[in-house]
Amino acid sequence: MSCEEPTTSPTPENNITVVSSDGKEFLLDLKLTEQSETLARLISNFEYDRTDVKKDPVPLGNITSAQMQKIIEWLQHHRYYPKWEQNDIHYSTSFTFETWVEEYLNIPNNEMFELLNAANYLNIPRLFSTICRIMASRITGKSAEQIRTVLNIKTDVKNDVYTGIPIQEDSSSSEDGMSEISLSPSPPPI
Amino acid sequence: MSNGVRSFPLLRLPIDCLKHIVQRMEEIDKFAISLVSKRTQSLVTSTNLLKCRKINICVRQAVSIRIDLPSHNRLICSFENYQVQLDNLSPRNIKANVSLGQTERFIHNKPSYRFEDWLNHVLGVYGRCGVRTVIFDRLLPNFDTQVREILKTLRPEKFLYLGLPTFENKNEGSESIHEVFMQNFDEIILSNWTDVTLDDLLVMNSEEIKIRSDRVIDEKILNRFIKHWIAGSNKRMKYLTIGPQSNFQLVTIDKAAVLKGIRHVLVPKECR
Repeated sequence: MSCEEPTTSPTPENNITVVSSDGKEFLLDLKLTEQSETLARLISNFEYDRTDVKKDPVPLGNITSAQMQKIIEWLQHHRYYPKWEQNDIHYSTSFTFETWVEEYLNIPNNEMFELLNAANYLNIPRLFSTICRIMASRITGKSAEQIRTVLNIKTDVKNDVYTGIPIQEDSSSSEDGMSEISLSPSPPPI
Repeated sequence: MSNGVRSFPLLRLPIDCLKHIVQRMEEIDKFAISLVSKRTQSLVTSTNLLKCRKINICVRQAVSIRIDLPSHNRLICSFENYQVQLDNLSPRNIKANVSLGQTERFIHNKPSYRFEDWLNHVLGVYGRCGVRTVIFDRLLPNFDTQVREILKTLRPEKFLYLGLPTFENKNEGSESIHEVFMQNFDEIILSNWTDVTLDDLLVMNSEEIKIRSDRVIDEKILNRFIKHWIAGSNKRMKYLTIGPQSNFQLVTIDKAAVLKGIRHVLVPKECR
């Protein structure tokens, strides 16, 4: 996909400030926030697009500065892209990404997990959908055992031979060096 | 971003995110996910993400569960080591060779799974309660003595195909075969069948019976059967088709003998 970059540069009135969970402030062009349905709704509700409205910093308590930096990189790149339209949500062998996206998402799975949660929280459909498709493609062609490793899923419940008490439940490990995040309400029990 | 082990803790995602990822997976990968653990099986089942057109079972050299997908591709779980030992007819820990179309993709075994468990797994994740067609191209070792159990295990709902070229000595197992004939299928197909008796025909309870054989049924038997049928012997049966084994052969049958004493209308070829 290609896009033309206009020559106009953002003015201070067209910015809002967001604050990450670790207290770092980011100045965001309102144009960029259009890609995030969460931010766009917030701006619309508080009339931040009006020049005479005082723009208080928006706290994003669930997003770290590193995640915000990565998100802004995405928003900047897609600044002049047409509005995202969801096409085929099913598996496709012919799906390709532009080189920039491949490089951008050439990150470890655990970082991808955090970015997906951030994209879900901020409701950035293009990023969310892209990560979902890349994650699905990382599973392609793997056996159940290999998938277990990639997704860090433990084996089913086994009872202790002496006490009969379950030793472990299958779940993704929380001891894998992940930073603690709670971007959205706790995942419902599956 | 954080450093750490390169794993993606899928199950920690909110359910909507999970669904989006699984939706974008290839059909065989979705199935593989369902095999990983009880929780992933439950995830796949509850989100109703796996869909199929029909599930069939084929008993040939190997026993296989065949899942016809909406994409017209076929996912096959083939069990080479099922029912090969007479002393252990339903062994646990059987290996499934899982393939999509012609390509074998992975081998999986769940230690506690017998064939019945595999079938329940497949039916569960695809939201089906029974198998559409069971095709027997060979008899399972315990078929004569445990036909009811076998049908209960394989759970054919609509169609049964019995293509048994090696089942020459049918009389020995005629009781068990009658058990099969008595089931209320939509259609039962007998292929390579020899010596269909009047008793065989009278116990058939399916809506449609198709018999393909190089040896045509005796005309007198057929005539007597049709008279019984008219008198109400086979209440569910709507159609009886008798034809040669191969589509290219012609049936040589004495129509006059078959229809002797039976009021009938001959349908012109172009109306069939």
